Amino acid sequence: MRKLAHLLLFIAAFQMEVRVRASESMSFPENCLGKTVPCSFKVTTDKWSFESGNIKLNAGQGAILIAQDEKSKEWKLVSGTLWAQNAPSVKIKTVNAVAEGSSGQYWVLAESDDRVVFRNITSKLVLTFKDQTKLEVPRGFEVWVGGINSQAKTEHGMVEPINLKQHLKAWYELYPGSRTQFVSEVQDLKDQWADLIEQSGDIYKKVAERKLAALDEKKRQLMEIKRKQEEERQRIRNEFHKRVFDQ
Amino acid sequence: MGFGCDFGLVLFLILRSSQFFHGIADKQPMKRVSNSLFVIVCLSITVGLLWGYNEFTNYFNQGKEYQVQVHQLREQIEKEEFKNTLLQNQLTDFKQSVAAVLPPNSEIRNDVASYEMKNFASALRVPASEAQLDLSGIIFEKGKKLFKEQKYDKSIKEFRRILDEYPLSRFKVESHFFMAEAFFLQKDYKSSLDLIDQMLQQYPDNDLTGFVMLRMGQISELNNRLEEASEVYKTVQTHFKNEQLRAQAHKLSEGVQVE
Repeated sequence: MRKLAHLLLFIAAFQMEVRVRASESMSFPENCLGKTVPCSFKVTTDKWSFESGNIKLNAGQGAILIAQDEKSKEWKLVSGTLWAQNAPSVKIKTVNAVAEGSSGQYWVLAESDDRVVFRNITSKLVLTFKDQTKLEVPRGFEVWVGGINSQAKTEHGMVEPINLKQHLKAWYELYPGSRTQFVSEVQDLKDQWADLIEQSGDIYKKVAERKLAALDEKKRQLMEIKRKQEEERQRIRNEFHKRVFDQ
Repeated sequence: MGFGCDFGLVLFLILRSSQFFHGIADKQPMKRVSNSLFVIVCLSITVGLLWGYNEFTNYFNQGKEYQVQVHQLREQIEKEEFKNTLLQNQLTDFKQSVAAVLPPNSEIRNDVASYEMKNFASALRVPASEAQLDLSGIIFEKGKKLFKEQKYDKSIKEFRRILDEYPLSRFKVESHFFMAEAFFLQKDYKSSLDLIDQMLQQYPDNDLTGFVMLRMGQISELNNRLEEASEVYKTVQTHFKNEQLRAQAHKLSEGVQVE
């Protein structure tokens, strides 16, 4: 009977179909990831994670990235979503701006050709636009960045609070931990961001005040020029008067 | 291929079984011989069934080769798309770099020598926050025309377009109003009430909100909620200053009292 059982097992194994799937990575040049730079690759799995030293990056399915530096300090996001979980002094380039953050989390979302969204969660994030101007995105805020406009300036939106509800979907898709961990982290963020609207009001106020101050300064400069012109005119008149009448 | 393998396997089993049978025939009693025969028959049936199953699945999987080909072609297309995206991105990056270096459009002189440069800058740059082309007026007129022709379904679609595509349009309030009216005239009171609610929240002081509130009262009347209807008419009379609206509300309120 044992022999029969062995035989049946052998037959069953003999009938089994074995499939070997080809490698699922897509890169250019072929199989360059981790070997050569620059290396462009597309994430074809559910998510992609990279960890080297204290750098932790995650990208969603369909994201296209270019590794530009051997020490993993420079990356370019062509399209898709990139979550820099911890990327101190790492540069994330896009067609419109370069993001550089301290340790902490931030997101880069290049969902459409013309706009890229930068979301700062817990990092100190500074964006350098194509026109070389810089913008700091505070924690809990996001900004969209577009192309160069007819004034040779980079188009970008107002720095505004992150809509947590919208953000959760993208975050959950890339989150590596369990559901309970995720819920607890979300709760933490929710508590931290409770006064964001108030903060955004302060930011807008500061921007408005800065603009008003700039306008005041301009006005003051104009007044100063006028005053100097008036003084000069007065001096010339006096000189003329002196020459004509005091002789 | 499957058939060949299975056939070989059957032969192998028969040969092994016959060897076994010959080896024990003269030594073992008849009972063991019949047991062996039973085992061979069972094995043959099992192998036969497996072979039959294989043939069956092969018959229904004849398109497999084509499926493999399609899969390979898809992979090839994906690779091509990936390379195209990379090139496109490189080109956009380069365009942006050039656009950043060129002077602002306003500073490029308007003479023949700078003509090419001006065209070049315009082609590379996005318009500086230029307002979106507002077609809401045309859509609104179309919706109104359809409403007058009593084609309420179509008119609702046009007004909905205004709300979705032009959220800052000056025709937004009127679009809300006409949609609420169209739903009311179609006797879709629930949708009408939803829109009236939206109007009450978004434009509480607008006269048109007062007019749709009269519809609200009428819906309450239709549902035999006379007190509620009367309350709505009173609210319109006290909250709005438009004489025509107040007169209508008064008239309707009297109607409720008569009943």
